[in-house]
Amino acid sequence: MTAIAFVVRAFTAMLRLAAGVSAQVSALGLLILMMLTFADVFCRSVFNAPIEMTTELSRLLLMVVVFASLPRITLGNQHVSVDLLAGILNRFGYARIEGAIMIGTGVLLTWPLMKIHVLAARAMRYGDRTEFLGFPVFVATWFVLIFTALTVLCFLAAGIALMAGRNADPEPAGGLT
Amino acid sequence: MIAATVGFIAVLVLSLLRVPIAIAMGVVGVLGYAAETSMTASLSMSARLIVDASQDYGLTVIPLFILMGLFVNKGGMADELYAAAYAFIGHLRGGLAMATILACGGFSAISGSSMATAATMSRVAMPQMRRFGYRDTLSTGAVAAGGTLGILIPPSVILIIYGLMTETSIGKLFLAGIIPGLIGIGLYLLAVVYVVWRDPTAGPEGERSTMAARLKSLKGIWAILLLFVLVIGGLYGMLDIWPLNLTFAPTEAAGIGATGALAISLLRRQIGLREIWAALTEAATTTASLFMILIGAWIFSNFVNIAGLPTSLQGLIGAWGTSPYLVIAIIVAIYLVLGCVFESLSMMLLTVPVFFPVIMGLGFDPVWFGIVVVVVVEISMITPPIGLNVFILKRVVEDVSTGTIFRGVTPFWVVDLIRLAILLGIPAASLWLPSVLF
Repeated sequence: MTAIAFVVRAFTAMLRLAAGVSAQVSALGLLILMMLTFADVFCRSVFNAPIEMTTELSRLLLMVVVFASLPRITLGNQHVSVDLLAGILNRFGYARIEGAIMIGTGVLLTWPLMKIHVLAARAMRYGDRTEFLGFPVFVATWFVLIFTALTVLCFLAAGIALMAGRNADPEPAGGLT
Repeated sequence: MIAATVGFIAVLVLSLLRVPIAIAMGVVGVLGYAAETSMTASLSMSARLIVDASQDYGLTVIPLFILMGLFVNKGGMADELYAAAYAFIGHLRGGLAMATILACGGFSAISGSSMATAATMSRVAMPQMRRFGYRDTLSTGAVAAGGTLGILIPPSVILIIYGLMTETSIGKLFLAGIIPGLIGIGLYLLAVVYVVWRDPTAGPEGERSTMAARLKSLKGIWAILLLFVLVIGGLYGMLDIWPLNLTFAPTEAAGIGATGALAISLLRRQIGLREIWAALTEAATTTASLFMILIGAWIFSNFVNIAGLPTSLQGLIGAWGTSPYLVIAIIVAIYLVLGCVFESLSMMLLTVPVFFPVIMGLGFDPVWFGIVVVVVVEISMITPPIGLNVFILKRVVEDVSTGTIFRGVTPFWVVDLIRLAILLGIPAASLWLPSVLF
């Protein structure tokens, strides 16, 4: 194994670990979102005392659910795609081209990533906070930024793995839309 | 208009080359928007959309309804539903296939996803139909077609997304889906009758259940009935009575439904910590996939709007004096063709921003159009070559060829076309219920 291959594999293994942990964070976020919604309705109906910060917390939790799951989906190459020509394309060694597409996607995503960084920096400068929780808006934007950056890295790793004829995540997450 | 058309073609080509649909729509949207404005404006718009879309309170309904469906699935509630339907009509020729359709309809009342319905019912119904010697064409066709009811009978994730995209009342959309869903069940049952009439060996009779066994089987469906009453009753204010005083917004209904499904599954000892965590992880990853497509589609639709496609289309229709019904027929035909290439959600997200303003301009009802779109999307889930439900089924019954399943669903999508014609010709079929209850 060459030094470069070793570095790439070690990097992919680290990403797999990070993506796995963030997927667990996402699942936890969803559990809290469900319990919070239930508690809000319960408190409102029984005690006539709704939890005022439910809307804000729900929005933050939705963000956690979505962005913390993205790295795992990306590493497992599980984005929804059209398989109509997959059989024909694979006969012509298309997996390598698909790998190149994944790498290209990762590179392209760095453009909006830089803009999200601008938004995060601006929110930090202005010191905006949410109404009920007083939660700093820039923290939420930074969260999006960090997990989008992790997703970009996952796109690159998944693309390199595909070009080398492997899957970056041998045990991808399941999902039904 | 030319820029937007080129954009559509680019998305189609990239998608066929297996570029993830979300990425294809996003990249074409960013570049197209940049061509119309500037790259800085385009990237700023995309970044703002990425940050805002994931913090939209209205969208929290999506992961919660997905989670509810998964808890219902893992809680084994579909088994009782199938057993009850089987007890009543299993002894008829083709009865097991009919029981499958009825059970799919019942399961759809607590699940918002067609693929989840097809996956669950294939696990429950396929072994029984195979035991009684049903032909693979009929058994797989019934499950794949029955599964499509999941996105029409409320709650429905696709209807929710349509409602959020077009600012149409989700409550009205849910109500509007009920009668078309029931028509769908009726027509699917007729399709089964037709298949066994042509070939009686396709669906032999099952065992006849005694009246006592039938009544006993009804006890098993309490969980599903309770969940349905809780979610739909709460959503429409039917539970706003002392001491419950329950009225939910869609997000709350989804949260209560998910918690209720979890509680019932725990009570029945059908689910453990491992299954709960698996459901949470699966719901989260499914949600993230959906949001990627949503964000991509919103970026693309911003490009399409700034390129002026909906306005140009409206202008063209006005200039040519085209009949509104011909426009609807063309739109439906486009959907049927696109359905052969795209998966359901992507197709809807890609097209609704263009067609919806045109439809509104022609004076049609947004609720009615939503139901028409969902029915067309349903058809696309069982028509070749993509037919997602067919592929879900193929995973469960690996020894049956995809071609056999596609042959099996043919009678079902033919009756789906009849249902579509009914909905197009008689808008009251979808609009009557919301007009009475809202």
